[in-house]
Amino acid sequence: MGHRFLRDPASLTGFLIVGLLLLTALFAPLLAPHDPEPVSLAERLLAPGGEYPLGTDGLGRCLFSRMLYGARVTLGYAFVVLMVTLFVGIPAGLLAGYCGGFIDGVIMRLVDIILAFPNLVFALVVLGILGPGLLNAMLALAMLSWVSYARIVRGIVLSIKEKEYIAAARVSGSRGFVLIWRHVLPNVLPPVAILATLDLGKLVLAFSTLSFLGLGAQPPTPEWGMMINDARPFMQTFPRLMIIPGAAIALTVLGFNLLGDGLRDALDPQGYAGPADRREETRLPNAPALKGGA
Amino acid sequence: MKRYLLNRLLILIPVMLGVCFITFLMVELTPGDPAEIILLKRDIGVTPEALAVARRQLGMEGPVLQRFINWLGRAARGDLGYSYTSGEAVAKEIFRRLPATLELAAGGLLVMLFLALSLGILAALFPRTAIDHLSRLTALLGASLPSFYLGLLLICYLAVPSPYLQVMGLGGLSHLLLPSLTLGFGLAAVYARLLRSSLLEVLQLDFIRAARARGLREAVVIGKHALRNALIPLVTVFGITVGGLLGGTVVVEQVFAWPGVGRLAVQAIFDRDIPVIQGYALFMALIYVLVNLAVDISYRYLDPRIKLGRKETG
Repeated sequence: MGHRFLRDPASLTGFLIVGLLLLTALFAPLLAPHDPEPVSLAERLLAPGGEYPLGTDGLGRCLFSRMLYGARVTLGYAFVVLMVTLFVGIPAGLLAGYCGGFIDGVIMRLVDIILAFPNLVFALVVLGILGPGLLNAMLALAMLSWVSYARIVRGIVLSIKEKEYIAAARVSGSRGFVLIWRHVLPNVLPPVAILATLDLGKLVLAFSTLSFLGLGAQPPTPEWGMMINDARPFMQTFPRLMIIPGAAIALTVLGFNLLGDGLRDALDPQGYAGPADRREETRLPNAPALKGGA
Repeated sequence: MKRYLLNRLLILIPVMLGVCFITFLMVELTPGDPAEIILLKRDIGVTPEALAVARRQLGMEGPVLQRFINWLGRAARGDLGYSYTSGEAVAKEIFRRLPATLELAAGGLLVMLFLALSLGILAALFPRTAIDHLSRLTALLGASLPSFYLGLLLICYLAVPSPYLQVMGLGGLSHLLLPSLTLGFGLAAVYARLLRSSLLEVLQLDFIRAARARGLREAVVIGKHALRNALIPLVTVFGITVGGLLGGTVVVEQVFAWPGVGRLAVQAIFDRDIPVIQGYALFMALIYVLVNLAVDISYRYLDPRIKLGRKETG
């Protein structure tokens, strides 16, 4: 499995991108030549080179340092949101699937209601109540993303509930919490891990989108989406201020997507984590090559 | 079919009630007394008596459930309250801006369909060739590029040098092109890949071989016989895409100064103008739920193999 994963160039690329980003985020204070936050108007919009490897932004801050710290902000908050999501979503799905009946009904209706809003619209509703801000944006995303975990976990629990080994565990005295912990949860984790990897990409995207709109990270926090919004006045004169953070977001999301797809191919032959467009390779080993035609 | 329809509509009732309740709760959960804000807005002195009158007018008396029912009754009659900032009726303000948003969403949808169909069909016709790899690369790019970034790049490198393309506000095709492209590009990615695998699967089936054996031209085989069947599984994903389209308009409207409801909603969040956000959320959810209903029904209509009234799992 590990071999297959690392031999696939796409997965390996994703792994490298994500690894590099994690290292950047961890060691940002050591790597960054400057403090990313203080404003220095005398040094605004300097060209790249010398003391400032990527130049300075409209407020005279070192772009390179802000990019490095931006990795920390973006990844850090995406991870926190993911943890909250998992902490709520997995138990909700386990409860709904295992208990069924009334509890299942309540949880799934709540899921239906949240899904009745387009995703970003729901986030806007939450932010409308709480007001713009970093913490509120994180909360809005967490309230939105636990839903997909609850649904998937519930589906898996329903599909394995009637299996014989669960009955066997029951007969040998496992009940309630122990049964779920020992026998149900291990089945749930691989697909959840894949979903979580893909979700990190989505969270980074959503988080930077909210920050771009001014509803997430607030100045002077170095956040990539917000940096792009700040760069709009200089879009034509100093395009690098916008291009570099945008490329960083795209690369991050790409990394998580590639990694998630690779993990899915390696870990999830049952396809619980949803359809993979890359699985068609294994499903159709001898698809006829259709050349030419009219 | 009738029974399925009935079931599907019955499920809608608790969901829509829930949507309304969440929207209603916005006023309850936000700090600040709407009655007081209204009085201040209309330059009426904030006295206890005036507050009581305003509260009664706003249906803010009694327990939560009763207030909810009052609110629901007014919303059903099209009264969504008044904007704190402009003082205008929320429903009126949203209706004035909704056409622009729908125009943008329609444009995005067209771009998405065009890209997805062409990329998907090409990739399926030439699997594992340069064309296929290029289509996969485009799909990956579409899924990874944030739409606001794509929009700004298009403005910078397409619109600025071009004398034709416009990037600010409404007005004809020249204004619509880039925003639609921004909106549609990212959404096309999933479809292109799905269409590819679905088409590859269908092309292996017997009736395709039969069509070829009858000597039909390849264009007819693909366009008429294969594509029609390959598109059915894509219909299910369409519901989610509409959510992406509606949500995506918020961002694209912001980038291209498009005067739609998304811009209105974002501004309302900054202004803490709760009734406007409420109205926006309610309209978006309503459109989304109705489109999903239509998708579900048409899916069953398109593919008679699906048992009607089957209990959904997952």
